[in-house]
Amino acid sequence: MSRVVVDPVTRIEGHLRIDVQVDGGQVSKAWAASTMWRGIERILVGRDPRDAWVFTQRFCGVCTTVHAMASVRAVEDAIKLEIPLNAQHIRNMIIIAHALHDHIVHFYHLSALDWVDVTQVPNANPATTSALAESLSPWEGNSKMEMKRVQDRINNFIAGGQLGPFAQGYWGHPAMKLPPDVNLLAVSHYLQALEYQRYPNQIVAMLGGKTPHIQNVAVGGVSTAVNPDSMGALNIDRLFQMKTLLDKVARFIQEVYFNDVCAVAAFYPEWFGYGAGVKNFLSVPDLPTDTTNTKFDFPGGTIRNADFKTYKPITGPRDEYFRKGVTEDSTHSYYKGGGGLHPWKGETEPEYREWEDDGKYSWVKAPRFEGTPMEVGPLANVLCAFAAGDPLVKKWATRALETVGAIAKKKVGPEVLFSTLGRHAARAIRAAVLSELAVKHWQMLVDNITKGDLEIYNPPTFPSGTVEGMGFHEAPRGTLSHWVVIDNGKIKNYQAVVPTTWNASPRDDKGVAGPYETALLHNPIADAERPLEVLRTIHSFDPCMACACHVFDPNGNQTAKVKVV
Amino acid sequence: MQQPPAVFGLGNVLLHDDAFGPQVISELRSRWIIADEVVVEDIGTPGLELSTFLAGHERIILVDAVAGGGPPGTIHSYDRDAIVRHPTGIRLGPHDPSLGETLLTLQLMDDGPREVLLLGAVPASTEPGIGLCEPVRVAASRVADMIIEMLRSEGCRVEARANPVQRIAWWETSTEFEAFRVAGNAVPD
Repeated sequence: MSRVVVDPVTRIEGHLRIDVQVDGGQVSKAWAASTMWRGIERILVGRDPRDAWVFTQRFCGVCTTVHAMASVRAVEDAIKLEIPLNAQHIRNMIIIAHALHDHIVHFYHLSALDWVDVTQVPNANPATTSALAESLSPWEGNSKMEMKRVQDRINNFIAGGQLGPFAQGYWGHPAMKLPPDVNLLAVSHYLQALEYQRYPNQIVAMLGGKTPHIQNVAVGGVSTAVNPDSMGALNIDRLFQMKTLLDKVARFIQEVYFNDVCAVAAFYPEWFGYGAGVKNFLSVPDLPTDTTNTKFDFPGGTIRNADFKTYKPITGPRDEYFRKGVTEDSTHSYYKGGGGLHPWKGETEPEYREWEDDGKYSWVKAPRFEGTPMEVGPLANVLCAFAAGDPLVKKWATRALETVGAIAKKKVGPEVLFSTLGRHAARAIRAAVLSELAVKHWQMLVDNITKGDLEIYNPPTFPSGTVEGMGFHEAPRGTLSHWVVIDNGKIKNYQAVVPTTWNASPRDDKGVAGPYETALLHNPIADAERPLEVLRTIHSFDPCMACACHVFDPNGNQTAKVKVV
Repeated sequence: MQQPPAVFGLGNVLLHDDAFGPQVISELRSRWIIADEVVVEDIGTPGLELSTFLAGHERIILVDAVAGGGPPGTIHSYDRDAIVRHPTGIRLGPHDPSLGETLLTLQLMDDGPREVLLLGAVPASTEPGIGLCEPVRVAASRVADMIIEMLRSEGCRVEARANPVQRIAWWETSTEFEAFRVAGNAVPD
């Protein structure tokens, strides 16, 4: 029996630590821990609720917009403030563009190299690689010439004695199983994705003023001036620039990213059998199409025990099923107190001590839904929308399963989605669906503006006495909710229940493990010194992290270490 | 005449001396008016976005805190070969494509700078907190002077400000920034 500690899982910051106990070549016990305190909730107490979104965006340097959205929604909910339709559409465009950026980057740059072996590229045949790619899509970047060009460059790096940007990785690991051609295809698209991930980010910056950390939301709407004829406002010219960028990224997602995920998945069928996790799923509806948050373009709800028949919808932010269902437990977290508290009653009093396997070991609390750990993220989102019968999700999910089946030459059903690879597939399905919805929401915004509606903001007023609000958002990493208590116009309590808190949750008062911890059980570990399989399952969730200290080390010292103890 | 190099400052202003890169950019902006065709930018902690900033530039000067030898404030310089020579760490997680990795990825895409000069200072502390230690602050002034010298030697138009106000780093105090503006300077964007 050995114990493997991966700390940090994220490369330079180390806010996530995973401990696994390995017995007979597979994981028998796992712990997920966050090694850093967030603390922003404490900073917010006593402040003006109109400012909260500026602070909460600073939870993270990557996934920033989501905390602005959830925060303004929470305050608007507390004072029952409607927002103008333009504001809703502009927020939706930012939400979609941010999600498309996240999903592309997550697959290619943050997790593909867990599956793709760059050292196999020289053995590929550019002609057959191109033929495989062209059988899947009409993308022009799949030509034999393009594949040859990428292969030559990789060969040049190798001839020079190094692998360029891929100098270190788990190359040649026994769990790497893609044929050389698929490796070449994935590496080619990895490079193309570096270009395409910029486009949705540019849309976020055009609407948000900048990214990361957009500047254009406000409690009551947005501050993006809208005027089809004004140089200084969101005008027709800029809207069409955005459309051009959207069209480009939509094609990349539908013709490249989606097929790559299917191709990689088809060659790792065993990973449809690992990493299922807690099998309870939570997502919330998003992309509201009215001013009062009652109609949504992406449904949400819950599924229990991996059974589609248990699907129960969450109809909107006023739905008591969600509002009453969420608690956070700190029995195993570095906070005072123990058992589950509703977020409006939530406490964030730190109580740090050394790591204890059976005691407190994480700065993350344990969120529970009606007492149960829930997985959140694209998989939860897609499963719930599938169960709800959403036509776009059904279309793309069916296409994904058919594409995997065609490459793997066997029939696969939706049950394979409850797995490590299922999370990647679901993220690709969600990206494809959102790429279609992007164009729809862009059109809704244009139609509303050209009809003459230029409203963007309804000013908030705060009542005397105490009001409570909740804002949720189906963020790229899953269900996010901000909970605020406002007393005489000042914040009295603020709690954010973020996606990675749901997924990286430690055990709760009943000793029940969270989604990461459960998903790691029975994962194979071929080589404890190189725990690639642990990273595969953890990365499939798209774990989040905060911002970084950037110190260049000329000696190339590793800042992250895998410890085997 | 070849294109002037773009100047980028890297660093997290909330981590004491890690703000060295942004401090140099702040000095350049507060003490000189530099011709528009020279890109001078504080790019903070861009993570994966680093490639977006570096793409399309043939030549760059980067300013960053470095884990080199010597006491705090010691200035080191590295060329492209020195930066890419050492392999990056195992790819456990994402958002930290190192500078070397970014340069090599861009090369693989047939893009990005062929000529790179990294000017770095050894930090005393990169713990959370605002403000640079004195030796690093002095190093920032020296590095800013060095960059101005380089730009001038290439024939770039650089004009000393009539009313320079030093140390107006935006993350430190708003009052110094205000003094700079009141002194009749255009607010740097």
